[in-house]
Amino acid sequence: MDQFLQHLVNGLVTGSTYALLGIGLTLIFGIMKVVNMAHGELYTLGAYAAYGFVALLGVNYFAAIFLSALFGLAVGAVIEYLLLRRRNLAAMDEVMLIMIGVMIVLQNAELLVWGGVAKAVPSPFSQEPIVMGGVSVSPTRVFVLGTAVVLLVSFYMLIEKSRLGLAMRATFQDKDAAKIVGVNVSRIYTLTFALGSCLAAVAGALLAPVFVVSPTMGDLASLKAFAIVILGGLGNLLGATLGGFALALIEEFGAGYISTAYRDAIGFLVILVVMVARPQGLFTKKERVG
Amino acid sequence: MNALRSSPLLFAACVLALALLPVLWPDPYMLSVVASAGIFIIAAISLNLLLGFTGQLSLGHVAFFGIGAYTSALLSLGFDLELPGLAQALVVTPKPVWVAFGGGIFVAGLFGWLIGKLAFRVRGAYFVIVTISFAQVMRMVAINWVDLTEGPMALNNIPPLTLWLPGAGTIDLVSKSSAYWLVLAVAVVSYLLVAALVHSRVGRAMVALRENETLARSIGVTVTDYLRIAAIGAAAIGGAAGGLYAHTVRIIDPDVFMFMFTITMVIMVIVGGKGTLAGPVVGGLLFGLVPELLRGRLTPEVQWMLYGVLMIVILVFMPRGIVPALTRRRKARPAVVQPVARMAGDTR
Amino acid sequence: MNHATQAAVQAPPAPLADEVLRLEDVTMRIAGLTAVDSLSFGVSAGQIVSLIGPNGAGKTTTFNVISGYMRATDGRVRLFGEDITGLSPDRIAQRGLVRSFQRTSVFAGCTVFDNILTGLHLRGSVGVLQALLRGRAFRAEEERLRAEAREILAFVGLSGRADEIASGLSYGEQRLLGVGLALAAKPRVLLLDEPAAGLNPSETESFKAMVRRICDTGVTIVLVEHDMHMVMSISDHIVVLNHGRLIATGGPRAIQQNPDVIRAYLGAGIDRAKA
Repeated sequence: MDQFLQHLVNGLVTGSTYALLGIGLTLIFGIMKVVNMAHGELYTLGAYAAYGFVALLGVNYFAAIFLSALFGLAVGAVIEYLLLRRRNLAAMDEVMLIMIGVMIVLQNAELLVWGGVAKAVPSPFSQEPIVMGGVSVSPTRVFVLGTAVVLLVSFYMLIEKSRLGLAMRATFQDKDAAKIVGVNVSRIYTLTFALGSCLAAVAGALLAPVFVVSPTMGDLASLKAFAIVILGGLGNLLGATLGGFALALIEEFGAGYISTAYRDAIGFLVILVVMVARPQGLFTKKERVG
Repeated sequence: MNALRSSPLLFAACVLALALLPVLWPDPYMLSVVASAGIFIIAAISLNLLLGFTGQLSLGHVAFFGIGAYTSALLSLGFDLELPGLAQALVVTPKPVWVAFGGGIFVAGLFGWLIGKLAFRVRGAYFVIVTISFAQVMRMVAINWVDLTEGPMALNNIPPLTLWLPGAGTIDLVSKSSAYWLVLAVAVVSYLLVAALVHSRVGRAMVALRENETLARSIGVTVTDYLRIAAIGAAAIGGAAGGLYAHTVRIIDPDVFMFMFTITMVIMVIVGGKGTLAGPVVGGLLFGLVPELLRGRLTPEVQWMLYGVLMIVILVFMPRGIVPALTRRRKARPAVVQPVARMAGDTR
Repeated sequence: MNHATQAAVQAPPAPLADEVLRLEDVTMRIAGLTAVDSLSFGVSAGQIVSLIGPNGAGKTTTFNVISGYMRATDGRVRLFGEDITGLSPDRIAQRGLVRSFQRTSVFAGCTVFDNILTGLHLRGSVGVLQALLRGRAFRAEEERLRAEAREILAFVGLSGRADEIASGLSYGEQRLLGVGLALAAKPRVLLLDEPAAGLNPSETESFKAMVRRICDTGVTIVLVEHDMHMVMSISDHIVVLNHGRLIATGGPRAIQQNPDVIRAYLGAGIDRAKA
């Protein structure tokens, strides 16, 4: 039972950041219909930004997370402005390939700047795990879970309660109708891409002290983000949240009870199984796919 | 654009020139560089069939390359496998390389059929993600099924290529020149197969799927049939490239399934010109040879950044790739000349 | 609906001996909306039948159901007596019913000639092996298909544009190419979805003449059209829909005078205007 609870807690911690990652990706797809192949690179960028701020500039860790988020926001906005504006986003294949190009450039830039050796981000928390009822959790992870949950809730408030969120939802449902009622769809697109990238960067910054930071971590993050988004249904925000937790829990329990070697493969297997069995995702109502 | 139809002479000349290369310039290093570019060209030609002609953005193509490589290597090395449920281990004796090579093509084609059945149940973005995942799963299997694949310890001492000719029996192709010629032969055969397929009713149906699937169905094209043909063809030729790779490099490890290889092939096809016959060749030569020229001068990271930027630039400014851009310029010239001629002789 | 029309609509007409297409109580519900409601009508061989009705009446949905792009929620579609409900569009095309589209009705990246050649898919039988081996049967079929393509191009009047890329054609020419494509699939029943939309009067006239020529070759034609002049002058029979329901069928003269039809198009205002 202790084992089970331990896995559950670990899964929830990772799941909360997975949810941030997945929401960013599904937001970009839902509103802009862009499959952001470079999403994992924004995650890596956030992690490296945190590393840079903390280890090199000596900035306070909490401030570093905030700054990494801003950095992600800025980079996302720049990418959207340079490459996606004035493009026919309906040509999905070409857009996907452009984002792959971005991914290649970003990943190799990181390799160039930071080198291939993994970096560790020092955590401001003590390394003593908190033990509660047979379950031990490091304070860093508790912080990660807490921050992620706060961000998730804030994000929902933004989408559901704010005017910006209303404009985004309108664009998601029917961008032409949104234009007619005065929504500046171009600006919404920029904001969406920036926001999605920001969420990925924050996820990276949060997880930086938990795992090590390396230039290729984005590949795995990207593919897990896709698994999450497919689980939840492309464009489905709630689905992405639940999917994030679901994937993390499946990975945790799978690694714990079946085999640790295939842990990262689980994400892909999930994708393949869901695609074969229920292509629209676990949490979406059935609609014509493709 | 069809280099074959518009000038079979040009095609034959190119092939001849390439065939004479080892005779005119027998530098073994250069030959191995061109041969390896040739292997990538074969892989790009296979990807182009699915991506360029049939319009399916499959980003898992390296899977077929790797499957071909591993199958051919394993069959030529021989292996024994303990399978659950079998009292005795499954023993496969080493096969002659040309048999193993054929086996690699066959197994890769089989996986192409399998993926055709599964992946095309979903379309659009979902399809792309499924294909990427498939390649990653293959990589993980290669890493973890150590009994079969030796995992990260790699399969080494893979025998070199052999050729079987009736009468002469099995010939070992040890020299760089003979390996080069075999790669060239496979490349030419692949090119001709794809060209033949494309210029037929089958190819037209595939192009119809790319151009307008709804319309294609209305005139009687059964989508799944032709997607499957494209997938099997692309997988089999990709597997051939993988097999050649295994027996020229003679050591393979799970890195052969890296996503980066898929990206390399995709860049070759896109930059060269997807949906054209010459495109993957041009792209393959460019991205097969340029890294060698830049070796030592620019670090790999910088090179890849350049390739990424190049790909973005091409997609934004020349989305159809280099080959169509060149041929369009050739077609455009007569249009400029005509009005002048008409005006001169115009009696209106 | 007055008694005469009601009687005409309610009594299911006996299936004619040479009936090529029949809808039996076809219903299509999409996302809670009933787009087509218990629609029944028949089309006889060699006729030109027009399907008309105000916007949103369910005409294109009916076409989608007949040609297999949508699966009817209820009811049956019969082609030459055979039940084709739920079959995919390619299987229905293989059975002789081809449908053209309002928009994007061509293969934009191919030449005009290649468009038609592709459209002749059902007229060929070459498979992968024959394509690769390129034997005598293959070459003979290619020759035959190319000759047929030239004939079709001449029939629709696009011979002079054979080597143009389809996306470079004018709007009117693209519509002609779309019809040519549909003809290439050698249909016995041809569904044309607003073929004259966006054509100027002279283009519409030539189009009408072409439709008659197609009918002369023995093809049964079903049109969805808004251009009333064209509908009235060309149709043997007219089927009128409103809100997904059949409200009248008959020849052009009868339909023009049918009060239910007039009311459907002009709304109840006509009564108030007359009053």
